[in-house]
Amino acid sequence: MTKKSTRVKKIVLGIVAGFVLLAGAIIFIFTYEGSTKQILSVADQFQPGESWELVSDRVNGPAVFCLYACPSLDKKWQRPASNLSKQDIVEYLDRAGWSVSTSWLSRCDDVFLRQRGQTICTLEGSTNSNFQFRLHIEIKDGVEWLSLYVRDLA
Amino acid sequence: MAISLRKRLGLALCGLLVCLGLVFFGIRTPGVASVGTACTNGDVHVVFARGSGAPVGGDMYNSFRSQIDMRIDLNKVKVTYYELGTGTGTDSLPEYPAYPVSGWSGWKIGLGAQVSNGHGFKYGESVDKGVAELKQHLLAVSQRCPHTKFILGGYSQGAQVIGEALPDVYGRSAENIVFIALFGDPKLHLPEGRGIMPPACKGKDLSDWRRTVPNCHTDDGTLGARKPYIPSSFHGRVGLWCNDKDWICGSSKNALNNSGHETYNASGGAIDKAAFEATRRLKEALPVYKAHAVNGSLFVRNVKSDTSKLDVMYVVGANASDNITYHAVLDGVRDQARDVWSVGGRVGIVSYYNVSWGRYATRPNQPMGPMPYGSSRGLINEEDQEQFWRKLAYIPDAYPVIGAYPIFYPAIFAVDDPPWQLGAQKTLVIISEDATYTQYGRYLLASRNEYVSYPDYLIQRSIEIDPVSVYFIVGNEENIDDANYIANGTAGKVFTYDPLDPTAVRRTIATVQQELTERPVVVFSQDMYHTDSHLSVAFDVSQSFSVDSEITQYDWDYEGDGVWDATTTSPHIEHTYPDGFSGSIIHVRATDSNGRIGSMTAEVDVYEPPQEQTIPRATGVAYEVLEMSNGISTVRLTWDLIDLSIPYLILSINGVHLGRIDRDRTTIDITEIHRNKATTIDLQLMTADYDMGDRSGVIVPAIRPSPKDTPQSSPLAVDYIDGRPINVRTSDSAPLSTEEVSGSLSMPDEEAHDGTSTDQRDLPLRWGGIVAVVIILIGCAWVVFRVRGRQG
Repeated sequence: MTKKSTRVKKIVLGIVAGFVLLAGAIIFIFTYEGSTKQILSVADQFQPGESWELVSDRVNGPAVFCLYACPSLDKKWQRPASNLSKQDIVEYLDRAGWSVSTSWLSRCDDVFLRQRGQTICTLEGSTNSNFQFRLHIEIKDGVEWLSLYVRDLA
Repeated sequence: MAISLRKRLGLALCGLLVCLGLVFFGIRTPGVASVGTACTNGDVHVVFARGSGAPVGGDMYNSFRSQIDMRIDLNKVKVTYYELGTGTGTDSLPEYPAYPVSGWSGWKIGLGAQVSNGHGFKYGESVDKGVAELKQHLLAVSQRCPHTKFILGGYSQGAQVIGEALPDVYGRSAENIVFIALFGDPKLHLPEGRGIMPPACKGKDLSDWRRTVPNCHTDDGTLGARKPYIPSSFHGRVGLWCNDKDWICGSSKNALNNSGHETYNASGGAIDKAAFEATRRLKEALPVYKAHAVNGSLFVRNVKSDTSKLDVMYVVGANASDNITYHAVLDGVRDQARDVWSVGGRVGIVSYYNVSWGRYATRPNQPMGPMPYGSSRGLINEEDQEQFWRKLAYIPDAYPVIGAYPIFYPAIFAVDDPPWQLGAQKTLVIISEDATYTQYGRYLLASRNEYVSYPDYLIQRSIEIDPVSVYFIVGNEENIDDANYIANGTAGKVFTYDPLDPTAVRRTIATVQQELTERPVVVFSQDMYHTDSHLSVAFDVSQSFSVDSEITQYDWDYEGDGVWDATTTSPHIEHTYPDGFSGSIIHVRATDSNGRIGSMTAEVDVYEPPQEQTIPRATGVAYEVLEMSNGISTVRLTWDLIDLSIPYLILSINGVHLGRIDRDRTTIDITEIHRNKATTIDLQLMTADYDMGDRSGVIVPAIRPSPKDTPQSSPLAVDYIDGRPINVRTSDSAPLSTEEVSGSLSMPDEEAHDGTSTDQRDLPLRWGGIVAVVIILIGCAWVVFRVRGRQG
């Protein structure tokens, strides 16, 4: 084998290796999903109680290429209508150690008091770590729903 | 009536063709599986399409629902909701899967979406299913409930689904749609965002569907623009929101800078605004007896201001002797801090005391609270709160009376120091028991001999920052001229309290806090305006909204100097900036019917066009043919020495720029002039800014090639004025130089030219057309003869 063909071979191999590395980096950026342990542990602080049935649970891990809130988590509970009150929500949040202002809670008065027929309202607040939560409270057709959304603020 | 066999055959043939056409082109009747007669969808039916990979019943959908729900008395107006892909409709429909496009499970789908512009592979299939589901659902509901009004909302992939379904939504389904809200659409199309200086940045030619799109350079979504974006029949009923830093809808060009895509449901954000607009339109569309149950003007209680981004800095003096009042202030701050934090805002405090050192009447102690040193992410965590409590507790009891000494230095310290949150409503609350002290120490020694008015400086800094509205809480109404002056210039207010009532100051702090959370939010149609001096620029704050009421007044400070130049009831105004305007900020203050005020600034870039320079034409342009061989000449072009203020000449042949010639030359030789056709040689003078003057030129006429080609003088040279040949002269000049320029000078072509004459280009087309016509005629003749032959 001549020196020239060896050199060409090396160049080709170098280019191929470069492409492989580049492709690897791209695939890593677009597919990487980190650990969901932290957000799951934060979300687990919110435990509305045994009367509630968890009906859906979905989590997005941390990602380099993120199209929608990474990490984030959606959970949904339901139970037959049991006169869910503002006090219940305050208790759930207190138990989790999460804060929401009373003025925000007052947004849900219409739902709790069944005024104006309003069926759903949204609360926003902070967990006790670097996460924000949004809680949708829905009372409709004899069923109460809690939809929790947690996302990182970083 | 008898029908001939030929006609029957013809009709049958037609029928067959129609059937084949229907099969071939896939024209089918919409597949509505079951159409009941009872309307169960109420007065209003809201349909939402979620984004890629979002769960059914997810956060965006719930926020959209919640915002609409709150504005309608559901005891009087029945509202039903349907989310595409839930299968909860009464109809058997294809289900929109909203496949994910990122992460391990979705990256291939995302790649497919990118390479097919959002129409192919699994992503395209997902969109198609969504489109089919939406169309069929709307048709089914409108057949059952002909009077039900629709509100549609779509986020990300869901926005694409809705946009792509619209061309096929017609009849009652289309008529009953009152509003369509699109958030973060990957197929966004805003033509006004194109170009280096797009019209959107000047507030011009804004698309009908454009709502809050802060980046004026946003033009196409990441999957390319859909054109036309919205069928014309839906114009006026579609609102498009594209947040800053949203790669999906194209406001960010970097895929890793996409944080804006997840914040459409932030408080006071796009979804809130869309629900506000949708219900306002609904109120107009419903019968009068139902319309009163829709509060189209209500922006939902406690969420109206962008309270998720509310920075409040308190400036409190610590002096003298009244312990009770001072602690009441700290208690008031403590009360309000929790509320600000609970909605993601930030709070800080600067406490100061008198030391009367040097020329400063006061000296601030260290800024306190989490704002200067806490989380820069805007939401204060428990650790930061503890830090804030500790700092509050540290404020010495030894100086317990507030505001006993001038406040300006600490106020400016408080404005300048914090890293204010981008996009937050920013407020400085100055608490001073004796308003007199707001007027002490009015002048800051800016340099050895120059004093600057503290109030003016505070206003200037406040407006420069974003603005920071300055509120005063003072214990008396005397000597408050400076407080009023500053509050007015910064869109703040002055509140007074009774200093003899130990709880009054705490209550007043709460009142100010309420004012802040419920104040109107002013939204500019764009963050930056570009205009020329002497041209009017149109400012638009029509997206602004008020808390529980209507905005009744807008005050405009065109120069950002704290002086309100105009007052209107309309959110639109035009203004022409004079020559030499050096400001860069417009400040708008909105006042609602409750007397609450909010304000916002936008940048203004006023360009002062340079005085038009008259660029002279080259004079004395003439040519001489130096050499002729085989129909190709070398030509010498000469001209008069040009004005030395013009640095260049541009040489063109047949309209094509060949290159730049330095100003100190008066001659150039051009080789390879083909004489089989006339050649136009032009000179234009060009300034250093690349502005060019009129052409002056000559025409070298065509000649027949002759074996006896010899050098000759041109019989004809034409000079131009205003593009018209006006002068004929000949030129005999010195022997040729060897310098060649043809094709060797560098200059970007302004007029692309393929060098082919029009006749030459058209020739194949013409011949092609003639051949096609002949073939058709022969074909027709052949058919006619065959038919006749059979009949015969």
